[in-house]
Amino acid sequence: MRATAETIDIQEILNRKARRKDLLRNIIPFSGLVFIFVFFTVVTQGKMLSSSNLTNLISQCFSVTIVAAGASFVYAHGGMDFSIGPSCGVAQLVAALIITRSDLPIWLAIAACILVTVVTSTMVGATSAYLRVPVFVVSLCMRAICSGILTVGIAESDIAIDYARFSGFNSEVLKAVVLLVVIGVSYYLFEYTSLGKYEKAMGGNVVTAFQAGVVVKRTQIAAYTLMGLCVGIAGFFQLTRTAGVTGGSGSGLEFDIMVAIVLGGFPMMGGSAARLRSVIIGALTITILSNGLVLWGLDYLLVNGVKGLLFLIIVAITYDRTNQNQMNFTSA
Amino acid sequence: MKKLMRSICLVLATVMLLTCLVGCGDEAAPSATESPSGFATPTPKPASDDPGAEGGEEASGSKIKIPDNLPRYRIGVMYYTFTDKLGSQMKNALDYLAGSFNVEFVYIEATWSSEAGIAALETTLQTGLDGVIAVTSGVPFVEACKKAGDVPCVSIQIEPIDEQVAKEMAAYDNYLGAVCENDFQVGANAIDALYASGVRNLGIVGLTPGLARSHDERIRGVKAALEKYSDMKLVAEDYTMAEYSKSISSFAAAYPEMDGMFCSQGVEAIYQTMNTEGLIGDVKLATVDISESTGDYFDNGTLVSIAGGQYGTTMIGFAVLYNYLYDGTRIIPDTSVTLRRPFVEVKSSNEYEQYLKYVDSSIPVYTVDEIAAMIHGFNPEVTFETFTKSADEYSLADIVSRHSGLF
Repeated sequence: MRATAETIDIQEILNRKARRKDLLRNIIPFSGLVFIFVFFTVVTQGKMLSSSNLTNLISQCFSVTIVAAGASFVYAHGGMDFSIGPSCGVAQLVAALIITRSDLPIWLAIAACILVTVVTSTMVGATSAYLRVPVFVVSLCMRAICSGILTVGIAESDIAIDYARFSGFNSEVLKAVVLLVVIGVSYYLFEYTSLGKYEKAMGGNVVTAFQAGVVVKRTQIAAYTLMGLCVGIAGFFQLTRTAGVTGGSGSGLEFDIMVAIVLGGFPMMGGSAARLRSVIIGALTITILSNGLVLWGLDYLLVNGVKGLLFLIIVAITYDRTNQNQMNFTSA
Repeated sequence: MKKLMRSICLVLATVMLLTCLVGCGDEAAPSATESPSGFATPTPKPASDDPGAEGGEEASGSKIKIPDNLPRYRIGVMYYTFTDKLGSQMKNALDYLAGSFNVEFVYIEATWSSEAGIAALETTLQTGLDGVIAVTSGVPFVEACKKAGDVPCVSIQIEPIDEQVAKEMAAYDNYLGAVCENDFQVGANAIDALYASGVRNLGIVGLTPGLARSHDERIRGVKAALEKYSDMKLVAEDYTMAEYSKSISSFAAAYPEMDGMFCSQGVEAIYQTMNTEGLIGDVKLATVDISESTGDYFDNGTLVSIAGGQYGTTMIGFAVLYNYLYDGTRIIPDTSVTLRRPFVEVKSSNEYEQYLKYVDSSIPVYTVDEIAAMIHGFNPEVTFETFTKSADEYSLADIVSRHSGLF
């Protein structure tokens, strides 16, 4: 009887600790974002909060946040994709060609843009799953293929589209709505459907997930397809924002996503601790960081150094050390 | 203990950051007198809000007076990076002018990504700019300036993609036009020089198409000039990112008959690779952008032509913008037409020495007085023809004749 009471006490303590840890895990990712926002609001003497800058922030965070929402499914199962940027460039190329060289309606250009990235991303996932090639190798190959296509596509000349015709797509209101819809749908899929749960389960332990009945390959490919969908949406808006396709279209997007993943405290290997809000917070943090450093008027020679220091502080605040503590404990 | 260590690390990082910031916040932008420029900085004029104030000193060697009390302008300058040779020359040339014209330049580093460039520009405009000079071209660039309160802007070095885009840009009131080097011509001239030096089997090394329109134009110029010479053969070409060294090594291995090369950018690695591949003496080179080893390779007979001095375009871009800021003068009447300028072409060791003395030296290719003479508010005789004449004359010989008394 006494033993049972002790057991209950211990269980109560463990539950309390778990609740506290869960609470911290929920709060901590926001602290980096709050820190950076307050920091830049102070050093820019409030310029950060001006209405025109806030509308700029919507445009500036749009691509990376949309793609980050899709990429969270891939990173949740421990995957990655280095081909996001070039495939986004190819999608913009195809859409621009449809717009400039045919009389087809705009919605077809949008559909083609999305289709290109869905196909390339799905191919990365499927090739890795069925040919059992590490995904980073496959995505590097896809990156090279897409870069090649983009180079051939603009070999004669960069392609420009009529900015005025697509100015509606540059409305911050539209972007805010699309952003909210994509985040909302992604949040629902990630947190409340079997797809999101399976992705996280695979990130935790793929063998256990398989033994528990998860169709691993199909789930992996679905994550890449979803990400491709988001890259395509972001790609079309990027095209209308820059009003043209160049060799640099889409470049650097994959690295922005990786930085967003780290800054938001999203576990790089995926697993049950993966939260969609982490990548969204990370994406917002990287945007505010870039915006704030420029607003601040920092000398360009110091930007990279200061950015690195701020990264370090944010990661120190937000990084989830749960597994690290377990490893330290085990090794001790 | 662990928590304590962690806290100490965090505090240290914060202290490092704050220490950095004490000296580098808003005051980081160098003032004219403190300019770290490679060019000698003239004495600055005091600031004032009275644009029409008279009584300044007479510019030496001319009748142009720069008023003492110039209004203060804050001008954004966007380029890929200000740490490479051309970027630092551009920055130095502008810093040289800053004090005399009472201008604060805000340098914006754009990346190869168009979207990142626009984002950087949008954000810098939020800090309050009176004008923008940017190595970019396109409607979104002009639109961003318009959205920020009709901020006047000038494109330099990159032309609008096509006539349609040029017309769309010209429809904006705040767009003052584009001032660019003639990259097509410099490519064509390089081929002429290679042909004259006896080259008959040519290799071309360039940047990936689409990354920089200026490089693409140079290659187009090269290809167009090649058509003139039926006995000159294109034996190899490669456009893999900026991996010039790898391309040259491959050419050396696969095309022993190659006796000349055009590289769209004269980076130092090209010379080193030609050395290691044993091409010195066998392969002639023509390229763009002057670097540290340029003189040595004229001496050993490898280089037959090299082009530089593009930073002069930035100074002219500044003059176009300043004209508008000072008294509303629009220099380029039809902004859908680009004001094209030649490169400074160097074709011998002797010319290279002159280049070092007159172009890459303590006084830039245009002095304060020469720029002042292009400002309508200081010199009412200034017209678009003043600028086209200056562009037509721009060459090494022109700079030497204008500046020979200064050294």
